[in-house]
Amino acid sequence: MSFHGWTGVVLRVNLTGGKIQRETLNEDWARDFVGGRGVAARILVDEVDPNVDALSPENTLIFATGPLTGTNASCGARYMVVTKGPLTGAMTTSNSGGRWGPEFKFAGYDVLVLEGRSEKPVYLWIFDDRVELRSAEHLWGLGVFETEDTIKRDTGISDCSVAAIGQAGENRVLYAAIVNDKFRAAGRSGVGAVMGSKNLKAIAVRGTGGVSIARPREMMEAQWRMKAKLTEAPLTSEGLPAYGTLALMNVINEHGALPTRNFKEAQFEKAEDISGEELAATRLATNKACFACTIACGRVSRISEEGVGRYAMHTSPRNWRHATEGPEFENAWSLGADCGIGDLDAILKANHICNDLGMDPISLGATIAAAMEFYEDGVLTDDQVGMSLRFGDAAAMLALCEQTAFRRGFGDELAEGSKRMGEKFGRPDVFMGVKGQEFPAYDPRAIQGMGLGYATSNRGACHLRAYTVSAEVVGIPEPMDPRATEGKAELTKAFQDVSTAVDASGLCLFLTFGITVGDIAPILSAATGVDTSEDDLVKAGERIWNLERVWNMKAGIDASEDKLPRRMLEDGIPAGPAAGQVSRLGEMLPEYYRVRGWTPDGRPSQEKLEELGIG
Amino acid sequence: MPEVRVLGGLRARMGGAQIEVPARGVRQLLERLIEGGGPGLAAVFYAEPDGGPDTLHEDLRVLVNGRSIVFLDGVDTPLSESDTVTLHLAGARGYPGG
Repeated sequence: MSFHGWTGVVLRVNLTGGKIQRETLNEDWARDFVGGRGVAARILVDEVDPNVDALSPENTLIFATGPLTGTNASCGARYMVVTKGPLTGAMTTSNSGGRWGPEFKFAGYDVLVLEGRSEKPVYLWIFDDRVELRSAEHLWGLGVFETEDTIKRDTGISDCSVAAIGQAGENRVLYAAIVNDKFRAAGRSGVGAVMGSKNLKAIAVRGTGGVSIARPREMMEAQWRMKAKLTEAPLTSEGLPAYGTLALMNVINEHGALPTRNFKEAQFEKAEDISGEELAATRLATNKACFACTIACGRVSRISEEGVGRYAMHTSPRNWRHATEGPEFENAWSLGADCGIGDLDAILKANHICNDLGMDPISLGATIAAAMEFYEDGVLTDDQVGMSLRFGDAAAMLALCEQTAFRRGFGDELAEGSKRMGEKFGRPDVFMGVKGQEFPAYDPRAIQGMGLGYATSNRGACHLRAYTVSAEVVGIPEPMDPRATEGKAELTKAFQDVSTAVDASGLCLFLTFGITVGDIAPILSAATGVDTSEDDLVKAGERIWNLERVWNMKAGIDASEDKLPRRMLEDGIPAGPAAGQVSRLGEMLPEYYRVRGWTPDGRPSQEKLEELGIG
Repeated sequence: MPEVRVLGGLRARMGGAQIEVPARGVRQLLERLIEGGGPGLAAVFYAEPDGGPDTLHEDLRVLVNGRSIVFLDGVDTPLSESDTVTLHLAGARGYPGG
C-alpha cells in the first residue's frame, strides 16, 4: 500500500557496528497494531528474547511514533519508547510529548530501532535523509540541559529536537528517563538506563518534510469536530490549562486517596500547599503546550521569592529567572506528599533535578519515601544514609536526588528502586508497587479499580494504563463507587484497551478527558486512508495488551505478579474518608481474567489469541 | 456549622477556598450558597439555572466528608455541624460510553 499517516520507513541503527539501514514498515503490523506502542511492541516480540538482560547489548531500544504523530490532529505529539525495562524485567512502554516525535516523523521515519552497544559514547544525528552516529565523548557526564544546548551549538541547528539521557542514564539508575526538549520525558521503568547501557547519549533530529494525509478534507472536518468537543469539556478547556494535572492534588486528597508518607496514610495535611491552586496563585509563569496541543497542561513555574536563596536554578532561557517546567501531579505527589514534604519550592527544584539528571520522579520520590520509612523505623542510621532522613525533610530529599543520579553514597542503594532496596535491608514490605515499579499517586485501598489496574498493568504499577479514577472519582462516563469491586473488572479492561489504542495512535491520552475513541477513529481513517472503526481501534488496543502480556509471561512475569503489597491488602487506611478500607483485589482478579477471555490462572487463552490474530 | 471546601476554578466564582454555611442538608447548603453568591452560581450548580437542586449540573461534584453524594442520599444528604462539604467541577467526557 502507499503509506499515509505512516511514513512507511523504519530506521534501524546497530550501535555495535555503526550500520544504519532504512527498512519498509510492515503493512500488516501497521494495520493491526496501528503504530507507536503497538508497532514497537510487535517489533520487540519479533526481535528480542524476553529473557535477555535488559542492560545488555542484546536488548533493543525502540522509539516509535503513531500515524497521527506530527499531523494537525489535536495533541498529535506523542512517541513511545519500548524495550525490556531494567526496573521490572517486563516490556516497558514509556510515552513522551513535546516536539521530538513530530520532528522524527518530519525527517521521514515512523520507528527507530536501536540495537547493540557502541564501544564509545555516541549520539545519533538525524537531519532528514542524513543519519550519522557522532562522538558524544564531550557530552558524557553532562546533564540533559547542557547536552541539548551543546548539540544545538555543535550542529548549528538550533531548532532540532533532542532526546537525551542525563547522568542517571549513564550510571544506569534503574528508573532513569529519556528526556526530550528538556522537560518532556519518557519517564518510567528505566528506558534511560537502557539507552545509557548502549553508550547512546542522545538522539537529535530535525525534519523538514511533512506527514502525508490520505483524505485531507475529511481529516480537517473530523479534527474540527474533535476540537469543538475539547473546547466544550471543562477539564480540557479550563481545568488542565489553568491548573495542569496538579488540579488533582486537592481532589484526590479530599477523597482520602492521596498516599502519604509511603502509603502509611492517605491524606496529606499540607496538600493545599503543593496543589495546583497554590501553584497557579503564587508560582505559575505561564502554561505550555506540546506540538499541536490545544490543551496546554504544561506548567512553567517560578521558585517563590522566599525559596530563591535555597533553591536557585540555572535555567534556559535565562530570562525565566528561577523558573522551570512542571511539576505534574504525580511528581508533586511523589516528591511531596509521599515523602511528607509540603514545600512547593523544594518540589519544583527536585523536579528540575529529575529533568536535568534524567530520572523518573515517581520512582525516585517513592524510593526516597521508602528509605524515610526505614530510617524512622531504625533500619537505617545517619551513618548509613550520610544524613538524617525523616519524613518531611526537604533538604535530605534534594540531596538524595543528586546522589542517586550519580550513584554516590546512599544514592547507590536508591538507584536500585525500593523493591531491591527493601529486599537488601530485610524489609521488602516497604516496597509500594507492582512488578518492581513504584505506585503512582492514588491509594488502591481507597479506589478499588486502581488496585486492579495497578496489579494487572503490563509495565508494573501505573496510572496511565487504566485510569479508573475517571469513573471512580471524577464520575465519568458514569459514577462508580470507589469502594465497591463490582464492575471494576470490565471497567479496567475497557480503560486498558482504550488507553493502549490511544498510545498507538500517536495522540495524547489526555484527549480522552474530552473525546472518545469514537472521535479518534475518523481522524485516523482520514489520515491513513485505512478505514478504522471505533471497534477496530479498541480491538487493536486489546491485541497490543495481550501481545505485551504473552511476552511478559515468557520473561517469567506471569499471574503470580498480578499482586499488591501486603500493606494494601491487610492494613486498613488509618484515618480520613476511606478509613479502614483495604484493597479487595482478590474479589476482582478472577473476574478480570474472565472478562479478558483468559484462563483462571491468568493466561491469555489460545482462543482469545486467535481471535486477536496473534495466536 | 458545616465547612465548605472549594477547589479549582470554583474558588474565583465563590470568593474563597473555605466557607462556613449554616445548613442541615446539601440541598439547603447549595441554596444558601446561591443566595450569598449571586444568581450566576445557579448556572454552575444546577442543570437548569431555574430548575433548583433536584438535578445538579453534570460537571458539579459534591462530596460530604470525602464521599460523593451520588453514593449517599444525593442532595437530600443531611449535614451535621462537624461535616465537611467539598465542591469542585469535573467534566472529563472520554472513554467508552463517555
